[in-house]
Amino acid sequence: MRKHTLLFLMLALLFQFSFSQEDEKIDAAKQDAKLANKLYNESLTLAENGKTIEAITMLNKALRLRSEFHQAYYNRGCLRYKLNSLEDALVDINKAIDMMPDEKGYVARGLIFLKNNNHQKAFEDFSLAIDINSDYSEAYYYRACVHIEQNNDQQALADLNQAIVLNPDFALAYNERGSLRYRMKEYDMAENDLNKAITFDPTLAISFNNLGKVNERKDNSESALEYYTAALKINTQFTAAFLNRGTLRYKREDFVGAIKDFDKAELLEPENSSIFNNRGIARYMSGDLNGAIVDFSKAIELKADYAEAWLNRGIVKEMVRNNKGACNDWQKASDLGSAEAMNYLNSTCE
Amino acid sequence: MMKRQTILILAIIFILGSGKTFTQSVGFTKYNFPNHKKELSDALDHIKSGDKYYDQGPGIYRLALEEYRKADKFNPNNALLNYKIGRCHLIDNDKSVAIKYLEKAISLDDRITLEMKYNDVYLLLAKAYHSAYKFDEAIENYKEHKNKLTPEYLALEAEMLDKKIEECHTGKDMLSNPARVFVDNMGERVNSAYPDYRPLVVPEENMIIYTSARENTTGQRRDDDSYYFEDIYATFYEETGWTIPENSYDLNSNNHDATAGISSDGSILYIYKSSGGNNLYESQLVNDIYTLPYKMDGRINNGFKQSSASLSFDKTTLYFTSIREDGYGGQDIYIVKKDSRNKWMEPVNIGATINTPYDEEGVFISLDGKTIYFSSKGHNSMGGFDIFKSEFIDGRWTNPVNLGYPINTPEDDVFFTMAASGQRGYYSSKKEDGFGSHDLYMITFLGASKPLKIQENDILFAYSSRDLFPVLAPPIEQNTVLEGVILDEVSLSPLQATIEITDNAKNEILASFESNSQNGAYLISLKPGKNYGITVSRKDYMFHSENFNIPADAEARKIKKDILLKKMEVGVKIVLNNIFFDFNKATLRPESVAELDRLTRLLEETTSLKIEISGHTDNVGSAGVNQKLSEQRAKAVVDYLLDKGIAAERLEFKGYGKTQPVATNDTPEGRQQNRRTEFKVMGK
Repeated sequence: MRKHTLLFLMLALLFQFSFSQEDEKIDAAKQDAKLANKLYNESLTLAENGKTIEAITMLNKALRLRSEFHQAYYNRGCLRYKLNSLEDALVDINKAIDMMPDEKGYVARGLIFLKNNNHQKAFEDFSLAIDINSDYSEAYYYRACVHIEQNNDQQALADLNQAIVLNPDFALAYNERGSLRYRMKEYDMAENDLNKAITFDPTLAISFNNLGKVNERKDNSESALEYYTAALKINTQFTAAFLNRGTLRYKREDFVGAIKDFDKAELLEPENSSIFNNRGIARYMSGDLNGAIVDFSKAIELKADYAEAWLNRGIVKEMVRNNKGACNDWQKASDLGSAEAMNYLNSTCE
Repeated sequence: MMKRQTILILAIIFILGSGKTFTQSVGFTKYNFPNHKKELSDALDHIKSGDKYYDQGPGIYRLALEEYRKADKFNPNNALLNYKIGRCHLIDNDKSVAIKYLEKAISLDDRITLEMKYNDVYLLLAKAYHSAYKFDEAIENYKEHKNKLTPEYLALEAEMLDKKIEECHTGKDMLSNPARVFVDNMGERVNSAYPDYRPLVVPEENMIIYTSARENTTGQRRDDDSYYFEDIYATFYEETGWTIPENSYDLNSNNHDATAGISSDGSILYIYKSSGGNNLYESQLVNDIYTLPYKMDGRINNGFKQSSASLSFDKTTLYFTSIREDGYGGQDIYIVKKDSRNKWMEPVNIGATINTPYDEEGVFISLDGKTIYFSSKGHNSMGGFDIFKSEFIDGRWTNPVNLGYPINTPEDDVFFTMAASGQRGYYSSKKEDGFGSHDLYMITFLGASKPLKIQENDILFAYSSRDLFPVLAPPIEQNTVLEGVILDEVSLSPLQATIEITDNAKNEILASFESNSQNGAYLISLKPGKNYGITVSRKDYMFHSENFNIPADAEARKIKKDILLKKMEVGVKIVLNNIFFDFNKATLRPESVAELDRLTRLLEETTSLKIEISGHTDNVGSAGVNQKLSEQRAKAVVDYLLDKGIAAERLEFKGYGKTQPVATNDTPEGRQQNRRTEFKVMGK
């Protein structure tokens, strides 16, 4: 009896011990989960401040503490996508989708596929997101982007229309539709959309730039100039807007202004051969023939198959009496497919 | 005296009103130079010598200038001398010196002239500006000259002046749209300080035969204008460039001998000779030598003067210039054809499309047999002779086209000849970079414009996978648990009561639930970072309300709040914690509405209830002000209740100011507790 009592007591103790061990484990797991949440929240602050790598490190720690943390996988996938680590991003987003197959996960994966030029899979994922949440305007917007990649203008237009119906303040969707309509040569409608885009997001520099383009098309060069300037006020690092404004100023025969814009563009993108080609032309027109040759040479150095730069340099070389150099340049441009260069070779070079 | 002053004032007004200021011209007189008799005498001698040279013609203006300059050095402020120096410099290639002297002459005396009745200083200045491409200034001075002309002279010159002004306008247009050519001086070996012109080029383009009025011409005689008589020269192209020209002695004489034209194969050379009547001569190329020239057919040499000729490729048609009675004015272009017996027929005027009332000169027919180049002072010349082009299409000559700047200039541009290649042309012109008077120039035609290709992307900034970024998942919210028990204040027995949780910022009820009937416990999970209101009510009990914050970074994830409810009995009072006023005012803030409505409900449910609303302040400020403020605040609450339909007799209000503190006034927290609104049960 005593034996039994002892055994019972021992069992009871063991039972109690194992229970208390289990409790400790649960408590520890709860503590880990809390800490993981804290780290996750901190990673968001880091990401907001542009500290993408630090944010990923923080999420790594969070995931070590809480392995079934779908938001952490999702966010890490997004941040890896941002860093262009697309394979790693795909692994993370797939895990997030496994744990929580929601519309955001599919959109994120769709974007990875889109960036990888896997348009079919991107289309499927955005469509899945729409199946899950038919009110998710971003998914329509992204699917429109896939359609645009595939030159399916009408489908793109339909998705953008839907995105705008669902979210009438969707500035990017207006910008996208405006751009699409510009491509379809519907300039007035494009202008309307782009105006909506800047109404709903007055900081959208690309839309101001795009309005510049539309206004150039509509021969409103004065307005175009103002829009490019507005785009550059918002984004002082907007190389393309400098390039566009410089080119417009060149067309308006403001060669000094054009050169200034190309100078700024060069500071931002010193490897952009178009900037040098266009500045070369502006310099030529302002009478700086040697400066023009230097610019065309730089454009050619950056892009050896730049037929226009070869052609242009040949033209300027002819004007500085370097006929041999001109003919050599035109020969190169002609080899690269320039019909004009071929004509000049025939008419000018012996 | 008065009259004198008036005249003086009028004179000043006249001078100022004219817009120009004049200094006095200093005459070469003893009065002006009483102490420099010798120098004055020398200066006058120099002027005299200069005048003598000047009268002999532009060929020796150089010598005149040497004399004038010496006098000018002695007295630079003589209007007439400045005028004369400026006039001499008009023959220079660089017109800026002429402008300088003529401007000065005008500044000294704008009526200065050599002739009493004719003042041409503005005309000379206009011509200088015209030649210097300063067209606006030229127009201004042509107009000034025109305005100053007497009616007789105006009748004579108006047409000429209008043409000059038109030429300036043409010049401005031409300058703004230059031709795509290079124009190069043929160099100092070919050109001289004297007139060099009328180039003729052989098909191989390795010999140019041309005319020069340089010092070493045959006989070295000077004509009436003091220029040397013309001779024919030849220069050859060698590895080192064009050679120093050789005088073609066999072709030249002591009179004027000038090149007039050459056949396209170089086998016939046409020559102009002044002796015997300004006629055209022909010389054949035999064994690489041009034979002695012979006078051409009498049908051709039948005018006052024949000066240039060009033979068609097939040698059946000759284009030549001549002054004849049947012309359109000045020298005209004529065409003469050969008959079946190879004899020249009667020449005919080429017509009014080509010929003008002004001179035409230097005709050249191209190898295609239908394009002529010629010089004219008419058409839309920008000054002097300009070179024009016309094509014979469908039996008619097209309207002549000016070859444009920089081929043409405001001076004479003449005797154009096209090389057989068609890529180069040669002509004579007077330009700033010349070596003196007319020089030979080579034109390189660059062909049609070669536009540069600008890079323009005709696409808009739209979707770019680089710019798309999925939205991150939101933060995990770690809610705070609010828990506690509701008890009777006296017996401490658990109570089942209604609990309402309000988001004070939004004035929104987040939850409404009952506490546990057995143990009075309640529990709710709330988001951190907000200010909440909790209200507990139960029948026959005074309701309880209070506010609390859960900070965003709250470490404590559990807040315990036990609430004791007071039975509704006479004399019992509670603080209305969720009634808020504007600072230092008795204006109820919107977030007070929930609490006020609760109070309203209580009064509606217990119709026998009579209450007193009291206002209390802390001890900051004067007693009077506090008293008044507390009373006004209590009244504001009562007014709200009245407005909601509660009978006035059930309501009292009273202000206690700072007289009934419930906590210390020494701390902010204590003072906050003391600033309160209470209600007290006065009857039930």
